[in-house]
Amino acid sequence: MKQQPPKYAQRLLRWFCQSQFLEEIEYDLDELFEENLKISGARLARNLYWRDVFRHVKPFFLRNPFAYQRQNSTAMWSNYLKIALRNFWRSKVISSINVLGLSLGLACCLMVFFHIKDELSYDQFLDNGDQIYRVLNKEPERERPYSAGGPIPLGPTLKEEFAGIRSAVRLWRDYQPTLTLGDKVFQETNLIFTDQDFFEVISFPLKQGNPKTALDQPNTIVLTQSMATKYFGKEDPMGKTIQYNGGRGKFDFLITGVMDDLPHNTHFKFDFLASFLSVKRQTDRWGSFKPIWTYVTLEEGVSPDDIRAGLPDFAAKYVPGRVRDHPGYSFDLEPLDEIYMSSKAVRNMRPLGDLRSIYVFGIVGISILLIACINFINLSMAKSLARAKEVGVRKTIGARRQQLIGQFITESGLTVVLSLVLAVGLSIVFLPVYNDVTNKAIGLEGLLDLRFISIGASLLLGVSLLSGVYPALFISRMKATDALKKGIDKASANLGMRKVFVIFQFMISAVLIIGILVTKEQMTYMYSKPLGIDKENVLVVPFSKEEKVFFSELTALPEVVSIGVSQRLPVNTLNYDGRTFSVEGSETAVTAQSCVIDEDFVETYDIEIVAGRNHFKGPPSQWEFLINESAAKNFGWGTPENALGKTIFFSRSDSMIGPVIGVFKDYHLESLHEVIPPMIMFRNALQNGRSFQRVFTSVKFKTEDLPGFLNKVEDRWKSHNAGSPYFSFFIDDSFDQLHDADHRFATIFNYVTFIALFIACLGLLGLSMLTVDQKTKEIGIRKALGASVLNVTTLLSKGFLKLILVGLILASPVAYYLMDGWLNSFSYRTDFGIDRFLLAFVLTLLVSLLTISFQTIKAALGNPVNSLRDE
Amino acid sequence: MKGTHIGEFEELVLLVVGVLQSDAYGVAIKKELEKQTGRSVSIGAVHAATNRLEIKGFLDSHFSALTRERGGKRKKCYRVTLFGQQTLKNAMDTRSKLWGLIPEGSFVVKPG
Repeated sequence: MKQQPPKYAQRLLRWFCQSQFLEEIEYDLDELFEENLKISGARLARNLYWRDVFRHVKPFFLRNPFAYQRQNSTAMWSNYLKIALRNFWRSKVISSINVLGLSLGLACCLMVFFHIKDELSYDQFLDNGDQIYRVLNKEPERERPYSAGGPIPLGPTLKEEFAGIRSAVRLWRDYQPTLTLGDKVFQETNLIFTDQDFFEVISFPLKQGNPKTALDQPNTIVLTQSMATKYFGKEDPMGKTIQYNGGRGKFDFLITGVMDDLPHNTHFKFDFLASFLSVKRQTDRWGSFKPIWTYVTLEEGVSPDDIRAGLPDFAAKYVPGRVRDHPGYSFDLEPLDEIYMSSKAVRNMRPLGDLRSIYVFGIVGISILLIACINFINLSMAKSLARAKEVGVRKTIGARRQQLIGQFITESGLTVVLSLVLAVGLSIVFLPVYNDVTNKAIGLEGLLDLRFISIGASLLLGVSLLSGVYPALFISRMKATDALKKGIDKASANLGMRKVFVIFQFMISAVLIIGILVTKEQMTYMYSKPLGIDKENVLVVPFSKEEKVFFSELTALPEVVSIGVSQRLPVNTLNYDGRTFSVEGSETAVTAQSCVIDEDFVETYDIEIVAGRNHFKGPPSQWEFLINESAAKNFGWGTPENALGKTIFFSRSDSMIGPVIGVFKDYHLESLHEVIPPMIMFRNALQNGRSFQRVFTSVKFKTEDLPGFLNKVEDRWKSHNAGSPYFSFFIDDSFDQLHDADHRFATIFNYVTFIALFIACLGLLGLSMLTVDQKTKEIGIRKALGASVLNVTTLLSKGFLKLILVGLILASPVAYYLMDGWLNSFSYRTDFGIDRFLLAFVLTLLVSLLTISFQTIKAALGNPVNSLRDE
Repeated sequence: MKGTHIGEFEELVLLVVGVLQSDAYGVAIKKELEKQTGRSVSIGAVHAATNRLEIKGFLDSHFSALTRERGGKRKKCYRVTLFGQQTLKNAMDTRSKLWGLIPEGSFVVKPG
């Protein structure tokens, strides 16, 4: 082949050189090139050509760069806008599909943005969030090694031992105390005892009262505004007293401060802050790990690693038993501002966020926007085919390619602007739903956020460029003659890309649908998994005075099956008391959840005993222990039978010692994300009843008339406890609450998937409309020749169905990978088989078939006379 | 008078066009210049000079007949206009006159 001069050098020349000189220059350069080719070979000749081109870069030859700007571009732009509006109105259905799809996609994106922004905002408003650390327990042997909550003296001792720690505050949640003010009595769940420098460390502002002195006296309390209103109405609560009856005794609190209600985006949760000095029995009890959260601030320039380095020795000094029993046991620190998003610890003040769900929602949001954009691109492409003639005419008259691209981008820009406006409207509608589902209080003021506006603007720009550029480039590339002569045929060459888009859309939709099905299955599994106890039909009421009389009254009721009394309830993550149990004559010790029960507790909850007996036999002063399988395993006894008769100590106390009389099946204390911990139940053998007084009465019942029964129980209870507040709840409600977060996840996921599928189907509807439109004549002829309605429908649907099938098949591995990952976050998870996939496939196929059929059947039923007439 | 002035290179180009007669186009001019002056001349310089001279009216040009070679490009051939010839003659005359004014014996080299 004959060597040609370098193409790009030629292009460069043509670009910069004025056209009147071009022919001469090119002729001469070509001649020189041919000569050089003969003499010096191709390589040098090409180099010389380049050199000569550059030597023509002289002002004399250069094009005037301003020559083209003199055109009347404002007129052109207003023309584009006019044409865009006309086109928009002409194809109303396609335009509204575009706007609807895009605005839904954008609205989803906005919601996801709100969600992520809110999740990341937790505790960020607190001062020095990166210098405050929460103290954690670390037990490397456990599946979840970190947990929050520790012994009473932990905070002050840390401050004494480490020079680098400036202050330490403890937050001890009291379990279900009652507060009384005159005739108002309420059961409170969020009362916390805390140290006096709380407000200095954690920067919640006080509305009334002095943050420095509010909690520096015993029996003082600060309450939130809504609690102030609840007890005092419009009165000023400052300086008033309120009666307390709870885990720390019975006394009066002086109100020394009022604070605003906690914002929703904090991992703290409390309504009352009482001074820690009010806690009378502050013995140095290192043995009991309670819901006491300790936060420390470090001195300037001290790194948390400096403190961490000393923590193992600290642990060895103060909790030697734990260190001995749990190899590698130590404390650890985590920064306050990272707790909500990234804490790995269990036992938190309230459920925390999950970084993974942020990723999931981020990806899902972007996928939905992508589906919407693909729709937009596909439909614009298909629609622009019909406008090939317009492009041809424009080109003939002298439109340059850039101008055509500008025109198409104006048109997509118009759609995107409309969609964005609609999307903002939609998110205003969605926001309350979202707040409702997630229990958050995100306001619309987020819309005015600068970050939000910039993200909105870039979304707008990005989407209109993304969706506008491709069709614009594609159609403006057509040669004027092709566009005029061949029109649609030529343009259909790009069907390949459209197919890929449709496949991709349905892949995403199918992944999401499989996602829903699997989440649903896991939720069902969680609600129906045998928990090991019977949580149905158990009513919990507070422990009553004159218990014997009250119990006999209750037992007399025909509905009551049995009554069990316990220190703690089988379901309550925050009501834990981790105690050490050790074995006689051995070094083995196990930290287990301890719970004091009475003789009928096991029966009331129908707890399954796998070995031994469920009832206490000996005299009331005899210690007898019931342990769960997990505890038996942790003690190293292997089979449950082996555990029977072994003697264990409670809290290493020589006086609290007794045999294991039974082993019960592991039952779930916490959400299914958690592993079942060791648990030990025993009868209170302390004769003076000094300890373990806070107890609950669980009533197992069987009734047709639930309200009547509830009333009867309430009446009986009130007759013995006049003036005390009565509260009751069903144990299965509390269990459901444990899975609130998962439930929320599933609900949001459902909404989102529905929207995704809806958008994908919108696109399919638009595409099938356009296809049917293009094939009107073909269908007419086929029908005239005798094709049946079924024939025609099949013909039209076949193409789409193939694409959808490919999308579904591609979706399977992606969905499997993602959902398996999600399920693995549960300690007890369901499995999903091929049936979920098949169901998702069938669902998607059905929905899409239905969508297409609107158009195909209409087309197939049409009278061929009508479709053939307009020629 | 502005516009009638020509530089040294331009004068050479004009003269070469005259030498080459009917086949005076870019490459030919470049080659002849190189042959006669012994220095290397870039084609860009030639194009700039010829076109500038044409605008000033010292040269006029026509395109050769269309051929199939080189994608139908035509070569641009130049001719010295009467004005050009006059200018060349003026330049030469000026020089002769100046040479004549040089006193005998002051130059070792003799003209002609």
